[in-house]
Amino acid sequence: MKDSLYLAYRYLSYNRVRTLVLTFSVAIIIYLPLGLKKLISESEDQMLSRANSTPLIAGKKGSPTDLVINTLYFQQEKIETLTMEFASVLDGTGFGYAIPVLSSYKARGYPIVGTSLDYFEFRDLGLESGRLFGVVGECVIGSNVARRLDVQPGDSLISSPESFFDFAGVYPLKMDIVGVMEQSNTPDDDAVFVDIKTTWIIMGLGHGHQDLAQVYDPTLVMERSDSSVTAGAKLFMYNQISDDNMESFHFHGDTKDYPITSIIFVPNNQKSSTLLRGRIEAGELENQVVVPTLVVNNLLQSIFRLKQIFNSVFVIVGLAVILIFGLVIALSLRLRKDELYTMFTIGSGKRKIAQIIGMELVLLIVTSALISGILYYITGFFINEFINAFII
Amino acid sequence: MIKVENLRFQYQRSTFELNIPDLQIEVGEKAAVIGPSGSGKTTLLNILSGIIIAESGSVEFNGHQLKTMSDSELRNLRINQIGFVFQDFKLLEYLSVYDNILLPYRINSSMPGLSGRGQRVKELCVHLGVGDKLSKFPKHLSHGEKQRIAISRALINDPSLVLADEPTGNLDPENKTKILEILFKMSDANNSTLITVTHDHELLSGFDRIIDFTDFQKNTRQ
Repeated sequence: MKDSLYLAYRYLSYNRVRTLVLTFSVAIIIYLPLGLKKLISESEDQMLSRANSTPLIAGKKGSPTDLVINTLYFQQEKIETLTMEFASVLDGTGFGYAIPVLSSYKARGYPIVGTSLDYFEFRDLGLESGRLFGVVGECVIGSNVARRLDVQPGDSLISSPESFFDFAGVYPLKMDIVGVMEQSNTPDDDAVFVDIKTTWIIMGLGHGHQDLAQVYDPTLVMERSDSSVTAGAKLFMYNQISDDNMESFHFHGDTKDYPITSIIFVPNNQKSSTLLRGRIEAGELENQVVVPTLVVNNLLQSIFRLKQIFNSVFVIVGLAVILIFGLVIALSLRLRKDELYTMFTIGSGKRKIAQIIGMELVLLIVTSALISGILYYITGFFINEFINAFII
Repeated sequence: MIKVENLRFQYQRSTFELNIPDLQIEVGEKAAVIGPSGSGKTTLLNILSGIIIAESGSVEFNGHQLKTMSDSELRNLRINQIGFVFQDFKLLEYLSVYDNILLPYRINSSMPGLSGRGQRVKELCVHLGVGDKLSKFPKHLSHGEKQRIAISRALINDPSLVLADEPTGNLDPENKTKILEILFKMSDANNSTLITVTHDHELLSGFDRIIDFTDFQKNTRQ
């Protein structure tokens, strides 16, 4: 056995290119279904765990999937907004408390999530450094944002304009980073959290500018009456909120009419949840309230179907590879006919020759399995990032 | 001693028939087998080593009737008592010179362990003038060197019979003489029987005996 193993090893190491190609082909075929299975089951776990930890989500009537995806994973799908007033309406039901969420903008590629401080308590998110935001213009960043952008409390982040050519639209806002959240292995790690009012300022619904009472330049003030002042576009708008200019920031209109993308509603108990959903379904309240677990489960059904297709593909590819592998071995044996006959001539039994060939196959397959095991192990390190980047 | 009597052998679907009425080769004898191509010289070597079993006639090697021996007994006979030298050397390209010589020990469990064999390999190689080639692979050797290694492999188990099938066929004239000298010397030193198939008639002078296959050849068509 030891000698067969030695001869098999010698053969494989001498023909190292052929061996490497075969080994990696087999390794990939072993790894792919396992890696995909891990990826899908991990995605399922993560999606379900995020959904399970979010009792109800309210939003404008439309696609429940878009609503859930936007609220749980801050995906920037353009969804219909509802007004902040609905959060007050939900609060007023007495069934629980509402956490508004507005996730429509980005800062250096990361979603800006406007919310209230309740969100952090609800998600049980801890701080790694700094503090939570206290006033408008401050932001708290997820651990991945901090690591990848190499920023920390004391630094700042600028919101990205929706379009470079939309001069009348969103103005970039320079936000002060006041805290970094602890790693939670959830989409919260990749988000920039701000007070919901800060998001409205980014949207242009609130702003700060020079005190018009102190401005007498006729090119800045177009019209002045006892009750109002009409300023021109030349008026200097602040793009960062500081202690000096904070007083000048204001909102036009009633903030209860301001948009939010969704509301996370935390009911007092199961009964409250059922009652609220009943009232929504009875049409007593406009908008929709969905149970994220049900929506995500529906979504996962689609992934299951996809997984089944993948599994079928892998079975076919695996069979093809086994056939090719068999063909390569058969051709290799034909090429080695002379060598094997020499062994037989000088005294080797056919069983011994078969044992040597068998050892070569065992070595190939064991090495392939090891490589796939290593790949599978490595997958574990990157799976969260992969899921967040490509699946969720 | 090798004793062949009334041997008749024919390959399936072949018109050729090997017919040896009587052939006896003594221990230590150096015999050259000559004859035209296709006259059955290599077939005789295969029969003498038990690779081919002739149904008709008898082949006796050191008192053993080959026909009555089992496959494993024949294998053990080949590995323990017979050394093979081939025209095209038949060295395994993926094994070093050292491992090629020790191959018989690795492919048959009836051989004793490898311990102590390393010294014997070195001695043989030094004796055959390839002592510095032990770690080389066959592709780095000349034809003459390859044949010396093949001879070392044939002699590693101190065989009582060496069967050499045109061992000088792929060599230049200088190497041909040297290789034959080596085979003769080894045969003398071990008192082993040497049966060499050759087409080189100019090399026949060193043999004790010439077996001309023209005498044994019989074509059934004729």
